[in-house]
Formats: sequence, C-alpha cells, structure tokens
Amino acid sequence: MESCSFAGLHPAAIALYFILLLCTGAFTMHPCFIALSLTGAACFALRIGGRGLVRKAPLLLIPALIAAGVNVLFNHRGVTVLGHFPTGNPLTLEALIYGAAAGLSVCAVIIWCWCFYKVFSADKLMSLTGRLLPSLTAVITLTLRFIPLFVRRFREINSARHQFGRGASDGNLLQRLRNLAAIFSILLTRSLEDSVHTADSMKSRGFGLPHRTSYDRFRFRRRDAVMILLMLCFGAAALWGLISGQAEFRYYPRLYHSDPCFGAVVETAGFGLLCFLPLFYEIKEALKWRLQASRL
Amino acid sequence: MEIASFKALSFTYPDAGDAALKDISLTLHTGELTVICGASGSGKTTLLRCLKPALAPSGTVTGSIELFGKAASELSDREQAERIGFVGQDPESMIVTDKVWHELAFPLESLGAGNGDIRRRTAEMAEFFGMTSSFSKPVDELSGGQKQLLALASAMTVHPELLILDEPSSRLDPIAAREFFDAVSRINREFGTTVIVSEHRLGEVLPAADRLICLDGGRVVFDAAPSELGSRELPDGLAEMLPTPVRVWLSCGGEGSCPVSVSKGRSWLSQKLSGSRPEATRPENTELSDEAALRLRDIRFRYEKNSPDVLKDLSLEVRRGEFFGIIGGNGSGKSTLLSVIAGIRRQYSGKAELFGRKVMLLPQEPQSLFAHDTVADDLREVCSDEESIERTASLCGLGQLMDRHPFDLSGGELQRAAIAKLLLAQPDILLLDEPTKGMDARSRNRLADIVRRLCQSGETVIVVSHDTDLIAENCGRCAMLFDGELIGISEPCGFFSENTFYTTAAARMSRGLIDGAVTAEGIIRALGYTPPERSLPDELPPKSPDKPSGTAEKKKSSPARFAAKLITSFAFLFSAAGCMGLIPGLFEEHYMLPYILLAASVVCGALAFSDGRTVPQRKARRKVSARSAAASVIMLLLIPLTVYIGATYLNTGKYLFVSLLVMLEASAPFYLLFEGRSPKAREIAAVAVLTAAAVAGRLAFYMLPQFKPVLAVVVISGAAFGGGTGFLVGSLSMLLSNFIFGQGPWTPWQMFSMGIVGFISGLLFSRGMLPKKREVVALFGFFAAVVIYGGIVNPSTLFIMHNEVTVASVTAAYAAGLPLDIIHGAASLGFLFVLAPPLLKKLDRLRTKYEFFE
Repeated sequence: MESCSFAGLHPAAIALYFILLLCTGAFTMHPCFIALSLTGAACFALRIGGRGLVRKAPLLLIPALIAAGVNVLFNHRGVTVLGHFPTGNPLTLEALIYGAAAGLSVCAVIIWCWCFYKVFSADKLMSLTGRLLPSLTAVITLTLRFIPLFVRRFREINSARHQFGRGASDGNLLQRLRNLAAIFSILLTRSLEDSVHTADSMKSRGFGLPHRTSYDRFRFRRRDAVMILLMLCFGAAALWGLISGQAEFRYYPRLYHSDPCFGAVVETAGFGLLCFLPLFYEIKEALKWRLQASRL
Repeated sequence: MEIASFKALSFTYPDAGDAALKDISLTLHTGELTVICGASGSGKTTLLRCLKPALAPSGTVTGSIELFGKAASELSDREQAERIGFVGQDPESMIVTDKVWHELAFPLESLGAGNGDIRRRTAEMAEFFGMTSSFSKPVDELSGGQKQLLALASAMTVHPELLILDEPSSRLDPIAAREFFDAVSRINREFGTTVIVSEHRLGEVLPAADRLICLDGGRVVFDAAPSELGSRELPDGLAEMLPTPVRVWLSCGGEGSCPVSVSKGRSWLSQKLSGSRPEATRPENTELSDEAALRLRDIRFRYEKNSPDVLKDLSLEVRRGEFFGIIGGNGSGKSTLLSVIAGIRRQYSGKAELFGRKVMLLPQEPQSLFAHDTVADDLREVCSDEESIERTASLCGLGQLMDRHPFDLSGGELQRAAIAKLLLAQPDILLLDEPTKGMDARSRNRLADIVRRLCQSGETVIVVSHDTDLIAENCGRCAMLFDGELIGISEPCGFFSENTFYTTAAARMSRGLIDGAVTAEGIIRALGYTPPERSLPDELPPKSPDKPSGTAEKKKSSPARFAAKLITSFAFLFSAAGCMGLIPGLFEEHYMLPYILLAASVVCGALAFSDGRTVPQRKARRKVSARSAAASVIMLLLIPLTVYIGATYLNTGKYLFVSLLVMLEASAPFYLLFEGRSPKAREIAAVAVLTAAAVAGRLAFYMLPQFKPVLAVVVISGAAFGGGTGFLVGSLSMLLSNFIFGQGPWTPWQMFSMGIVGFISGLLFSRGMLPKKREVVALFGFFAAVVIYGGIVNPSTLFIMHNEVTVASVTAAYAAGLPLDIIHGAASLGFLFVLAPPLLKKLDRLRTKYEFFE
C-alpha cells in the first residue's frame, strides 16, 4: 500500500514534481520563497508522517545552526556591524540574517528529501528506468532482492561462527575487525557462488533476448495528466520569474528587495502553489472519500 | 508425440576423465510426468540441463539431442525460453526480483510481452498458485516453500510445453515438498505440460509419476512405469530411494501390483495379513544414562516485548549420550528452541541448565561455517592437533574431501564436513537443525549412522527435523513441539504409533494392522522377513582427551617488526588526535604538521603490518557499442560547458548547479557504457551481489557511525573486476542505501564520490599499475576515504547550505569533516587490510571458474 495518495500518482509525475522543486527552490535565497518552501514541506511531511515527526524536528536544528554559524563566522560582508570577533573580523547584521535564511532553507531541503524518499520508492525508480536502462534496472532489482537476504545470511554466519568464539562481537577490537572481515568474506564468496545459479535462472527465463519490455504496474491516468499540467504551469511561472529576476532580494551590502510588481506576484504564487500542491492533493483525495462516506 | 529424445548421448566435462553421461537413449512423450532418481553425482543434473539449451553445460557431446522434432542446437534462444521451463534446487538463488508480481512478470518481460498481456498472465498465475494475497509482497517475506512455488509459477507464466525440475524439493521440508508436488501434478494433469523431475525423495512424487528413470554413474539403469517396479530386476541403490510401501513390498517378495502410495500399501498389507494382527518387536530400550546433559525448566521466550510467546513453559531433560529428536510444523519454534539451548538467544523466564562445557549448533545452511579454501584448512581453524583432525575426518568419512573447496562439495558431504568441524570444538551437546534436508538416501543413512556412533561414545545429540523417518529409525526418544510446548515425550515406537497424521509413512501404512511398527524395517520384521542391511562406518568415534582447543599457531614476528607496529600505531593515534584538535596547544605553530604525520604514520604502519603477499593479475577485455561510446564522449564534453554556464549566468546556487550537473554528466558514461555492452546475466548478478553486500554491510554495522565496510567492498570490487564495475558498485550502493535509510540531500555527492573510489581502484589495481598487495590496497582505502570521498562530500554541505564558497569556508568544511573521515579511513584501512588478500584471491578463483565477465 502506498503511504499517501500523492505517492499513488504515476512515478513520472512524482519525479517531475521533485525535479521542478529542485530547479526552482534550490536557486533562490529570497526569504519569501524559503518560507513557502519550508511551510509547504513541513505541512506535507506532517500530513504523511503524522504527529510523531514533531519529536524529530529538533534534530533539524543541527544542520540549521551549522549553516548559520558557518556563514556568520566566514562571511564578513554587510555594512551594519554589530560587533567584532576575537580575530578582529566584524560580525554584521546582514551576515546574520543570511545565515538564518540559509539555516531555514537547509531545513526545507532536508524535509523535502525526507518526503521524497517516503513517496518515491525504488519500485518507482525502476519503473522509470526500466525501458531506458534495462541492464542497470536489472542490477537494481537484483540488489534489492539480495539486500534482505544478505542481512539474514550475515546474522546466520555470525551466530554460526560465534560458537567458535569468532563472532563479530567476540574478542578485542582487532579480533572483532578480523572476525567481521571473515564473516564478510564468507558472505561474499558464498553469494557470488550462488549468483551463478541466479544468472542461470535469468537465462532460462529468456533474459538477454533482444526487445525486452519492462512491465509497468503504474498506469498513467487522467489525474496524473492533470497534476503534471498543474505542476508545469506553476513551475514555469516560478522559473520564468527566477530567470528574468522579477522578485529580487539581496543581502549584501545591505538588505534590498525589489518593489512588488505583477511579475513578482506571479512568480511567488507559482512557487507557493508548487510547494503546496502535494498537500492540496492529499486534502482533495481525503475530502472525496469523506464525501462518499457521508453519502452512504 | 515425442517432445524430446536423446540418441546415444554421451557427455564429458572439460578436464574430467570420466564421462558424466554415457550412451543415453531416451524419448520423452507429451504429457508424461517422468521422475529421474539416482545418487548424488549420477548425472541427473547434467542430463536435465542438456534438455535446456540455454543452460547446457559446456563439454564434449557425442550422440544427438532432439527437442520438439529438431536438433537442440537449432532451437532459437527465444523458442527455448518460451517452450521449456526450468526450476532449480535453491529457491533463494532462483528468484531474481524483490517483489512477487515482478518475479511472475520477469520471463514475460524477457520475451517482450506488452503491459496488458503481462498484467493478465501474472494475475492468472497468481490465482492458479494461490498467491493473490502475497502478490504485492516483497519476496523476502515468503517461506522457503512459497519461494519455490513462486519460482515454479514464474516458469509457468510463459506456458512452456516442457517443464524441467532439478531436485526442486531438496531445500524444502516434507510438508512444503508435498505442496510443491501437488502443484506440479496439477500442472501436468490440467495443462498437459510434460514434466521431467529429478528427485531424492520419491515418496511425494512417485504416486503421480508415469515413468521412473534411475541413473547410476551416468547410465540409465532403470526405465519403466512405477507400477512395473516388481516385474524387473532393480539396480543397486534404487531400492533404498523408494518410498516406504514399495520398500516393504519389495522386501516381502514383491507379489501383485506395486503399491506406490500409502493407501495402496495399506490395502496390500491387509490382504497379505488376511486378518492376523502381528506385533512389531520393539527395539530393546537402550538404557538412559543417569547423568543429565541438559535440563530446561519452564522456559518462556518471545522475540519482542509485545509479541506472543514462542516457547511457553517448555520443560525438557536430555540425558548424556542420548539421541533426542524433535519434530514440529513450520514456524512452531523448533529453531528458536535450538538457539535458546545453544545460548544464542535467552529465555526471559525459566531455567536452562547445561551439564557440560559446550553446546554446538549445526545451522540449517552449513555453508555458514566455512571460511577457507579447503576443508582441511577449515578444520584447522578450530583445532591445531593434526591427529584429532584426522580421526574426526575419518569418522565423518571426509577421506578424499579434505583438499576440496568446501563450496564444491555436495549437500551430504558438506553436512558431514560441518559436523566434523563442530566436533573438533569438542562439544558435549550437538544440536542439529534439519540435517538431512536435500540428501539422497545413502548420505542420509550415512549421516544417521555417524550420529548414532557419536551417541554411543557419550556425545549428546538433539536433532530437530521434519524427517519423521530419520527420527523413528534413529532416535532414543522424541517429542513434538506444538504451541510452544513439547508434547508426548517418549521413545519413537510409542510416539509415532500413537500419532495419526504427524507420523512416518510406515506407521500410517500399518496403523491398525500391525501394532507398534513405525519403520519400514519394523513392518518387514513383523511380517517375518529380513530387511536389507545397512552398512556402517568402520571406525569408532574417538573421544579425544581433554585438551583445550586452541586456534592455529601464529607465526612469530621479530622484535623489530613488533616495535615498528607499536610505534606506527602510536604515531597514528597521536597525529589523528592532533588533526581533530584534541591536543590543545601542541600544533599551533605548524598546523600542517599533524596531517603530514598522519599520512606518514599510515604508510609506515601499513608497511610494518604487511606480509608482502601479492595477488596475481588478470586482465579483461570488453566490447563497447559505438552508440554508447559516442554518448559518453558527448556527456564528457558537456562538463566544461556546464561549468561555463554556471559561472557566467548563475549567482545564487551556482556551485550547487554546477556540481550536480557535472556529477551527472561524469556518471552517465559509466552507466551508458554498461548498458551499451549488454552485459550477460552473470555479470549483472555479480555486480548485484557486490552492491547488495556493500549495502547489507552498512545495514549490519548500523551501530557505529562511519565504521562500515562499504568503501572496502567498493575498492575490492574495483580491484577485482575493473573500474567500470567499481564505479557501478560504488554509486549504486550509495543510491540504494539512501533509499533504505532515507538520508538527506547528500545522495548525489555520495554516489559520485563512492563511484569514483571504485573507478580509481579499478584503474590502479586491475590494470596492474599498483600491485594487489595487502598494504597497498589498504593504504589506498585510507586515502580514498579521506581524500576522494571526504574531498567530494565535505564541500557539498556548503553548496546545499548556500554558504559563501571561499578558501576559509571550504577549509572549515574540510576541517569539520576530517575527524569522521579519519575514522572512515581507518575503518576502511582495517577492513581492507584483513579482507583484501583472501577476498581478492577468492574473487579471482570465482572469476576464472564462472567467467563472470566474459
């Protein structure tokens, strides 16, 4: 089962969404954009991850503080001097504000990444690459099949060798390292040995014949088309604004922002809608169901 | 109609003196279900593979093979994939995808079927094999029996006319085997598919078979319908493979029609007895020793806090020298019980007393025990005393096997070698988990005899098995594990004659006709005949004198070398601490000094610890399609353009833009070249194994940050199989482990840098620019982790954070990342130091043995 309705969209739609987000969100430091991106990401993450995520939120402080700190320490541009470091370099208000913005934008990026991995499973990746890169996709499929098997085998070998006092947690640090290496070497040789049978099994079922197809369980439906259209519209508006510099914001030497014009409104609206698109879609699907349920 | 025929076929493997198949003439007809039996090494697998051209072994062939009316060599690849299905022994290695639906779709994808077609056929097969509920599940959640059924279902999706099954039940327990053969006979009956199956355990499959063929030494020694078993002379060895009713019937003269199933056996027996009701002679109770070897009292165990108890107040006492058997269904907790006794898992309540020094557990997959290149080396790992090794080896019948590679042994041989290894550790209690799975009758009896001998010499053995015959014939006492408790602990005779369903075929056959007969021998004796003799191993098991089992002797090192090791280790720790700023005030004036010291200490250290061995070189040649080569060149040409565009037109995020695109453009050629080569199945499987091992390593060591063997595996892959493979393994392992761990935005940099590590390792080692010496490979690992991996990943943080990229901030990013990089480097150095030489040697052996990259 998919984790949310947005994840139920066609992989191409999901991939396109995150690519658009990367192309627009990653190249601006406009505080407005950062705020939109952060709230959009946070709302969507809470929607699909539940309230439990709030407890993890303080972890975001670490990268945020690093981003802010690095900027304040190594960047001394800006005209409003607040004080001086022991090294003699100035601490400026502009650098402080830029640091805060950088910190928040890193938070947004991390939350979007979390959402991406939640929504875009390896299955979806393979459905996109299956046709273009069949051999590589076969490698990925096989790897995904082997990973849990190897973790299980690793434990088996470990407990078998533990009986001779050669498990991964026996002896001092050096011996442990040696034992780990031995376990690993057994795992690898045995699995490579078995992989010959895997290859036979692939060959016997016709792998390597020309004109291989890739079975795609994901069907492209009308709602995927609609969503892609919306994404492209919003994304295009935001990109156009970004490239032509409609809403400009500068931190150095002193804070400056261009006057709000029609273009800036279009750009910001496009980007904001793009950020909130998954959340809207989630709510729409939930409402649909609730409406249906109330009719029953 | 003929579907396949052999005419005077002989086959010899290269480098083998004796032919594997000798003068075989056979014809298979449409709709037949043929069973091939024979001891291990009698040529069954070779014969079956000759029927599937894609899997035909390479060697010298004389005579002819015809399939569907034409010579086997004329059959196109597509035709043979479509018309001949094949299922092998090991479900784990047969399955190639991670999801059930994908496994079903796999052969259809290969044949180029359309989406709609695949959707319909997979649905159909899932319905037929009762897999609808697991259709979307990951393969890993299925049991062994379900996996084998899945392999069968997948082979059937293309509707083959001929289905070949090579010992399909050898890794299954009897219940799963029964389900599997039920499905096979349904396929045969309902679709008219011709089936040829090789099998050790004839009890399940013989009732449905139309024809039985027995091979011995590569010749057909028996070929007739099962019902004709009585009318022909049976070759040596066939009799012991046959199911219980047939064995009893043959020993009693073999009159009338052959009873191939238990129900036919019953009616034959009641006719034979005509009213009288004899009693089987109970085997004299071997006296139990008074000394307890193991006492469990009210053991309770569960896996997780909120899961139900797997063992509920389980109590058991096993005496010294006893052979105790435990049976029970799948998932009843048999293996859990063994691991509690072995001390691998701990009960949360109750008491487990062991009256002895040591318990040893033989795992279900005995390969787990072997780490070396020969059986003898593996035995020496446990015990240094050559004399006791020799005694144990001859007890377990390892005579000629000592110099063989453990993975080249057959199932039964490997099981015996594993027992030998466990015995050398001098256990007082030996635990066996399904020891007879997949063995032919002869090896099974041989194993049982070895265990019985051990018990006579005072060893206590507890066996857990589905094999009711094994327990009935050999154990002193037995019990059934059900619902977390041991039920009905008694001697096998009483135990199996009271059970109705969960019992031996002999007990089911003689129930109500002969009292207390639970083995074929028992029935034969009760009828007044003598059963055939079983041969026993000659030597008595030696109980070696109490001697501490030590590890093999270590080579003495000279004091100078020892001092060098000590000094370099100290210098490494000291300079590492200096780099991380842990020693305040020491390096203030010369801040580069600790870094130089660190590099020097690593180099000297690796040399001091080295043993100077080198792994020989081998080179590979590959063909690349012109199209993918051209695409790669274009990609590489795009790099300067990207840098130009980024530097000229972008302001915010230009570093991000440039680094992302450049990495993509630099990675693309590797992927395209791999794709353009159309790699063979073996290469794909090998790359997948290496990648999965790297990721599984990361999963298995999740406790320690930066202390993981991923980089070591990537370096080794590159060194063994070349730069291209190294890049793929590196970048894919980072990609997939990020999919599993769901980590932050660093993935592209991690993928690229790990890929580059693999690529450079391939350039340096597989082309022979650097010798594959232990210290050289390990050193490369250290610098790859610190310089290449750290060098690319550390500044990425700045790009993602939109920080100003200046000399100072980049230096700060490196300085912040360095401590973790040094740990990463040291871990990789350590792993490679221990892992590289043996593994590179093994990979080389595999590479030449299987031609992974030809």
